Amino acid sequence: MKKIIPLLTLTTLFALTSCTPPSDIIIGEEEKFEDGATEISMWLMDFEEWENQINISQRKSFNSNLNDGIQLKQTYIDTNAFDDLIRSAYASNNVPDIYMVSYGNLYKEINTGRAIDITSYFSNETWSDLTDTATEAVKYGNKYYAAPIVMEPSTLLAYRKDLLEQYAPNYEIPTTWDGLLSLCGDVKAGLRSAGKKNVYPFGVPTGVALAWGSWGMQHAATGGLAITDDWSTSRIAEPGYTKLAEVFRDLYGNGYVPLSAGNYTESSFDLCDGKSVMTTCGSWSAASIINTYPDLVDKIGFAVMPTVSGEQDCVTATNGGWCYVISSECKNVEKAVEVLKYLVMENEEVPTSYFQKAHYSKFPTRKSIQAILDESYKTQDVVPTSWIETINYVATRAILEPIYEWDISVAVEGLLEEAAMGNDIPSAVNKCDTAIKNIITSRNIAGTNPRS
Amino acid sequence: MEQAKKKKQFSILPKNKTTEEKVSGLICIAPAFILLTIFVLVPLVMAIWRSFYYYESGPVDSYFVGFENYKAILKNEIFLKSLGNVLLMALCIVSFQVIGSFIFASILVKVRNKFTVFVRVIIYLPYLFSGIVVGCIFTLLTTYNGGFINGLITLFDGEPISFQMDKFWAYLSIIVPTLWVGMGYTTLVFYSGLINIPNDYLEAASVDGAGYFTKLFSIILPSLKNYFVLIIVTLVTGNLQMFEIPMMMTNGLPLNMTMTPVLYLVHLRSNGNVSESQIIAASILIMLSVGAINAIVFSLTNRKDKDERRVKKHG
Repeated sequence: MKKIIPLLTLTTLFALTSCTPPSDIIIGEEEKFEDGATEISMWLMDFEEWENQINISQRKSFNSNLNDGIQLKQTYIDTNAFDDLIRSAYASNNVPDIYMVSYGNLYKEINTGRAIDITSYFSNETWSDLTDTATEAVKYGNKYYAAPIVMEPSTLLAYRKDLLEQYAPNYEIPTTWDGLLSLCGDVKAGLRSAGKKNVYPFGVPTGVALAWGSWGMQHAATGGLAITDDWSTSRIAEPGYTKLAEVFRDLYGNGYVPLSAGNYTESSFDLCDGKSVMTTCGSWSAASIINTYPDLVDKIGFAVMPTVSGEQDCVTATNGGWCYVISSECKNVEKAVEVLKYLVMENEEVPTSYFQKAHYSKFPTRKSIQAILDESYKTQDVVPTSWIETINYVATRAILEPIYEWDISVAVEGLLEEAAMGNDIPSAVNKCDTAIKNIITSRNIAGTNPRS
Repeated sequence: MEQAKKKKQFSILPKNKTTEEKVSGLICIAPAFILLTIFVLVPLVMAIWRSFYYYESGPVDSYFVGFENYKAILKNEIFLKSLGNVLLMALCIVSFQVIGSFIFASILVKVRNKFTVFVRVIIYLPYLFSGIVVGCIFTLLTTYNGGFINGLITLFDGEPISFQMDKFWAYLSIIVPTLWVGMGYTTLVFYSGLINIPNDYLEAASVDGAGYFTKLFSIILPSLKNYFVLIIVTLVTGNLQMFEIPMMMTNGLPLNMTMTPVLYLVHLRSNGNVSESQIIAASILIMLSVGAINAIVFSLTNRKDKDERRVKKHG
């Protein structure tokens, strides 16, 4: 019995702590509360700790005004459960006033009437301050449906300068896929002669991450994505896709990349841990490296992803990111709009501070903020200037993430996986082409692209 | 004629019981019935109803679409592939687990000492872990770059195994953890079945000169028939709805070969453009598949029962 009681207590505690519902995170200084204020509820993704802290400090700063009649309440929700909880919230009439949506999922929120049209709540000057990409991301027809927070290019080349120097002296950062394969070969030879095991020359996304992490590579290889802009025809038979598949075959076949990579959103950690010498990664990795591995900042470089031809002044990545929408169940739209004005749309200090605290790893959605950041990054010494310039260079050329059927991206992922496994590429291309054509016809998506 | 009709009238209450007994019986089952109605029957009826509509949570109007949701999901190649995958995996897991557990339980019955108690506790422990925890444990073992198994292999200059990109190893990386979790429970069920077989039967058979296999096929297995049905039905139902372990171990890789229907629905719900009603329709299809397979198992065992009864009746 003496042993059972502590065991039961521990089990109960464990069960309780692992079943805690999504809740408010309270960090730092005390929050101010305004008596009689209208509460505006906001659901956000539970990102990395440093980013959550920025959002919390924004909330506290908003709530420090005790005369605006608004009390902002944030709830941080696990990214994997977010969509499910939003749907459940609508089904149970317990919807937050404002919530975060990815640009890729925004159209669905509009199509189902969950995100309301907010065009008239902001002035024309406010809307015209948005960058072209941000406008394209949140504007459908002639209406604006969301306040864009951030743009993040999904594909960059990150490399360890010290490891390259060690294993492939006199290296040059490749601009073509052939150059990358050649450098991978040199690094592999260097690693072998140094007797290094479990270190790979390169890292690419796998699985679900390959479905979206390869969009930039697809565009760079073919000048477009898997289907035409009007969503009527498959583009897989174009030579660029075969070339991209061949690159994947060579990367895997020659043992340049690990046969199973970790989480793509944390691919920079493999680089920092010395498990890979180069890797593809998203721009967010810059902030992760600075926050998690500050000692390695000088040893890491960022570059534009190589392309087939070596051209760098083209689309090499897609811009993903997040925006805030006001829910159709919001009872105080005017007050919710005030929150968005403060956090994203009209205030300058708050968004500028956000991008600075994010170590310039994200690209702003407003021209005015971009102008401020263009000046401020030159006066700081935490983030290497070359990193910021590379991220900006890629982001300004990147296209938005596609919003077509997810299974089309899964089919392309299948093609690249088949190539990686050494299967016959022409038959893999045919298989992928047929799968995409079936999706286009069976789901009647031809001519339905709302962005075209 | 009227008497005959009355005899055929259907009644859920037993006729040979008094009113008091009937009332107390109804009171006893009422809580379970009410809870089942609220949490199982009503949601099930609502789900079936919604599967015939276009439905999205939120303000958008839903409208009747007939069997369109079912047609759409049945045209989905990945969903159909995932059904095939899970059938194959369930077949492997059920076969290995049933045979393995039975052999293990037979050994435990033969060696009944303090060590057996320890082994019973040890093999039952994994059953207490959730699929996610099991997935985490096996991920630490099977990670390509830095995992324990590949660490050992590379220590001896071997080529690391990709438990995600190789079809065989990917299947194995799901089947082994699933067996590890479930073996303890099924072994204990068989163990309890085996110790309940009267020793007199086995001793009498031995006296008559029956060998181990004669006793196995004529006494032991027939005595455990209901245990086998219970285990097979439970395992088939559980394995056709596999989610946590495949998600943690391979997440459908390679080429959707280890994709399970439930995992695919989760992917579709997170990333896809399909309506919620299509996902509901797919869930109902999964439920029907599980039901159909269980019905086959039951009908096979019932047929044997009927045959046995017929043989007994007619000599």
